Amino acid sequence: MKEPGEIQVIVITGTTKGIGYGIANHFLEKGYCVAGCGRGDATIVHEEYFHSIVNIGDEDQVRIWVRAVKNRFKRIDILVCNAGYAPANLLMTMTPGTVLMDLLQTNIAGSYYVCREVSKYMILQRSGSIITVSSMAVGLHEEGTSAYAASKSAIVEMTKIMAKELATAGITCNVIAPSLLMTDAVSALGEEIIKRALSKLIIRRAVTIEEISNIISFFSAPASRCITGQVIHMGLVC
Amino acid sequence: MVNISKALQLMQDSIDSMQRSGMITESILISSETVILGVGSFLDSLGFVTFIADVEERVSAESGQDHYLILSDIHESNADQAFLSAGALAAYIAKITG
Repeated sequence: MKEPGEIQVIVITGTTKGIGYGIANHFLEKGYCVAGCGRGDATIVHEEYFHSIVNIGDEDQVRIWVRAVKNRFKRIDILVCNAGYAPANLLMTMTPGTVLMDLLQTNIAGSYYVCREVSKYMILQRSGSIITVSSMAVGLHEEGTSAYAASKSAIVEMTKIMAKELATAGITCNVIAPSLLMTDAVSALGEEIIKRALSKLIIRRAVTIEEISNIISFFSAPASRCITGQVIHMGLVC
Repeated sequence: MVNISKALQLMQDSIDSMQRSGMITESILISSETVILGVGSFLDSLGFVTFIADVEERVSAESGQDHYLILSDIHESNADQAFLSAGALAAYIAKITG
């Protein structure tokens, strides 16, 4: 990790919208170089933003993308593994296998590939901070989220094991589990569903990009080098 | 193309670099028979990953093209052996860069 004051390179997956879009803009405003990716064209225009169209569920695409990022910036200080697929809630008995497999491919395999490829370069530089994104769904055990919550639970387990494997290389691995962020997709769910989701939380309001970004800054700060394998749940007690 | 002899040299450069950085303590002279992975290897698991990632970068720099050392492919090309030798890895590098 570079010391404060030096330009850091942050890699964020899923930057075309939602949380990824928000935190990418946040860190660009803070003076970071940001390498982002998504399945579509860039929605961010900034001279320090480098966008690639990547399906993170495709191992070869991830390998090529991460190499391109490394070639461009020469280092990767922080990875925020944010990209994920959140299908509409479906009871387990109604969930088609195709939905389950899409979800596992993006949320688990995709995160796995990105973490694996980025960590190789972090091992060579002997430093780095990996932050994966889980969900409040893991703590709430809500009906209709069996597949999604299972995939996000797997992210937590994967990150804790990565933390143990990469500790001696000076790499920390931690998890953020955000509650509700008012993205377009969430707003589209309607007032009733949003109200019900918020009622399950301890802090009954939507979180903000600034609050999520604050946790990323905390996990990746030089003073947090002894913090690894941890999960921060936003808005609820687990 | 990175031939077998050059690939072995790149591996030696990588090992020397790891020794200078303190990742490995002993001085290792790479030959075709040197065990990289398996019983008798001088590398621990993190050392092995570091070595492969570093050699991958050196191969790409040497050839002027992006190349990837993919562990499952290396294993396939060396499936009849219980260990991975520097010679087998060099042959794999020569093949993917050829």
